[in-house]
Amino acid sequence: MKKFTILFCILVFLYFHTSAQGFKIDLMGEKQAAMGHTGSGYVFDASTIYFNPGGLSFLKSSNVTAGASVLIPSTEFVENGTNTAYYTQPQIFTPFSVYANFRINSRFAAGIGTYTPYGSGLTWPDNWSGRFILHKIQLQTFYIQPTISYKITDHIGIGIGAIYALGNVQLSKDIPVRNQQSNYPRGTLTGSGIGFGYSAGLFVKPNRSFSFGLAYHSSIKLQVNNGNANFTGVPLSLQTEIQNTTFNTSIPLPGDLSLGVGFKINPRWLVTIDADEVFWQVYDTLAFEYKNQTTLLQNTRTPKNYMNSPGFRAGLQFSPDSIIDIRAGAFFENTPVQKGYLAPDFPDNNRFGLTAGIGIHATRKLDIDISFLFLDVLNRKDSDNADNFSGTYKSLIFAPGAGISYSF
Amino acid sequence: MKKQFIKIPAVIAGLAIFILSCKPHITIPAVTHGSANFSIYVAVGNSLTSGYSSGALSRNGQLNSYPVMLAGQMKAAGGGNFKMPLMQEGNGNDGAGNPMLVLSLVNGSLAPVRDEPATPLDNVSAAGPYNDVAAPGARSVDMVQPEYSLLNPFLERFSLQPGVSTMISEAMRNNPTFFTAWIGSNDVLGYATSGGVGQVAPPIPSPGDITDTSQFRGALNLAISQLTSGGAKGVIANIPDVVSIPYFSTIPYNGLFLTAAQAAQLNLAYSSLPTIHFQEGANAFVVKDPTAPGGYRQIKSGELVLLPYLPQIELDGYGSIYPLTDSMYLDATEINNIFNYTTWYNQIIAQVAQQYGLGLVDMNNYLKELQAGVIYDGQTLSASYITGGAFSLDGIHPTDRGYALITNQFISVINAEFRSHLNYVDVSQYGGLLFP
Repeated sequence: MKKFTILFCILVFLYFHTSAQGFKIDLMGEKQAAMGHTGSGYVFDASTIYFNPGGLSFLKSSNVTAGASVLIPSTEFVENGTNTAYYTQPQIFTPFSVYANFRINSRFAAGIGTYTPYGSGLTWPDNWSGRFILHKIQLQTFYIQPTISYKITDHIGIGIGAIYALGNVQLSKDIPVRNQQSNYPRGTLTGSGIGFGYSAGLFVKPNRSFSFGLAYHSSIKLQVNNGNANFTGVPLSLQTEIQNTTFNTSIPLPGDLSLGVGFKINPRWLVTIDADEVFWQVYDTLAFEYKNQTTLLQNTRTPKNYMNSPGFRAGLQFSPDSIIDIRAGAFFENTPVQKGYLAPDFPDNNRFGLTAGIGIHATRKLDIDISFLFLDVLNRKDSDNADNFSGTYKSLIFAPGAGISYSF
Repeated sequence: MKKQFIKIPAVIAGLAIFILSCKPHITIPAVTHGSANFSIYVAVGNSLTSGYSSGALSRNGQLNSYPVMLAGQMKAAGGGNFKMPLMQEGNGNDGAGNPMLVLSLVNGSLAPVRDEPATPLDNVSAAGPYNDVAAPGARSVDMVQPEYSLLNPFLERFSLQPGVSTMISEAMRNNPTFFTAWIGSNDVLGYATSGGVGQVAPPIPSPGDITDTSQFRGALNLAISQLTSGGAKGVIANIPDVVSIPYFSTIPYNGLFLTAAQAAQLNLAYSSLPTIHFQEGANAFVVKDPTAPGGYRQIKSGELVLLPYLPQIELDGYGSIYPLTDSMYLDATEINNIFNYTTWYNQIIAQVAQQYGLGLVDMNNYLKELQAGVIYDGQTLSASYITGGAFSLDGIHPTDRGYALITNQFISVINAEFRSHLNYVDVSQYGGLLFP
């Protein structure tokens, strides 16, 4: 008879079905970042390990390049039919990259790079209306990519790199059952994992002023095993149902294909243009599997149905003299998020980016580069159908950065 | 070249200022009152309009009632002060001196218990008039009855002249420009919660009877004609079919779970009544029914056992060793009476809405949706008892969160009817039950 004293019939309290993406921000090289993040068709420095492994053998010397940016995202949300604006809590992220290449001979080059292609997050205010969907999300990834490049002819180079990816993820949300203190319990999932992938590139330089390239990064599955699912503030009466446990998930980190050109109009002017496609389609489902399932904590599979998304980029560099480079760029990226899937973890839309930067050739061997990115994620009024949560999101992102590059 | 170097710090400073001053900005549509005038809003109704929750009226419930939430949203569209006949802080009062129910752990199981002591029903008539004049227990016929303000302790405590004042006259003391009316549930609910032992449409209905439709129509017409006499506009809500609320939907008809041994024992005990049979697993409860052979039978799918008798069923053997008595369940005929009168009342409410140009809030339909389960801002809300999140521990009245959902139903109809733009309330800011 006890069966209906505690009627836990509808038990979707605890479903984590937010994804773990946050924003994918392209800040893999300071020079390229200042030029609309173009670079698959032009070789600047060792950061070409990321941008196009095929171009690495075209570097005339060995080179070490390092840079970091300060990423400042801010997002506003207004639920449909209400007038309360919620802003994400101020947070900064520091994507960085370090690359080194060694010129083995005039044909061969080898290098290694580490960079952070996905590394951002969002923290919504504590009492915001989407608290039962998401409070906080954070994803950090490090890719380590040893790379070799071979110049088949004086004009054609190929390269390939293996990618070892490390990542950690954190997600939290509130559970809509109040405890005696009138507070909501909070569930937090934290985990880390690894994944493997590769990168390959073809770089062609028919003459001194013109080059183009094709670069590919494979999609990577970040396999998270035995992550911690922790719950705080759970009412005593529900503590057997809602217990700390561990979880497994796999987070798809989409790869991309990009085609780029670099055109040196004259010694003063350089134009770069890239077109790319990010393979977001790998993000079709997000699943969480818990070690100890209870009636309140069940495994979940949530359709995300992201689409592959194209991007178009252009950059311009003006070199008034042998010391200074002035850079600018712009890009447009299509959102992978389809209608009805716009959730608070990735309130994305088509984005428009403007970039600028200055490079200083401090010595013959040392470059100092600064970059600045302004990214406008266009207003989007849409709905997260799985949660019946609709509203308007707007995000702006600023990312100033600096780097050095040393040739030897 | 030198100039360019000097410019760099200036550019950086400029960018820093730009970053700090730039925040995303979403334009929010302006709040408007449309063709309605929200300056003096009054709410008439029963317990649902008073903020009654978990078996009692309390100050906290009053402050989280849908008229208070609605008045809060109207404020931005020219709404005035909304005065509640607030009770003192405390655990509330059900009108008979009992406090509200709270969720407790009893022998390891969650169960509702009374949270003593009750809050006295203090007289607040001196500070009247009030904008929310709803009285728990009121039926349509009670709204315009002067004697009722003497009989109903909730109404009496704020009435100017008990015995002379009516709920509607109290409302009219405000000279309202806008009103909401949600009345009629108790014209059938009293019959339902007492297991259908009352009469159907007697000449003078008492609270456990079903009100005759012509009396319902007459009382509602009179009430609305008075409310609109000063030119006030308003909305009216219809009444939910009671079978959609946890009070009636929680205990399944076949909720008697038996072991093989228990089933055999009961079969032996009831061996003189061949229509009654038990087996291992789920069984229909045994009820008293004078029309059945021998006066006992097992209830059928669709018949409803009332929530408050759960302890008697679980602990005292009711429904198995002893039959459920007539007041503990609703049989098919009684449910049919309830359904028919609810339908007829709702037809009358719709006609009255049309006649007086009122917006009509289809609560009957909304409660049906809620019973099936709705997802709202990532929470699943349903009419499940305790876990559904929308209904309080009495199984009849909503939680604060449930009242917030109801407020948004009113707002949606007001906006459509009067071309106003009131904002919805943020449902996530209103809680459900507190779990021990």
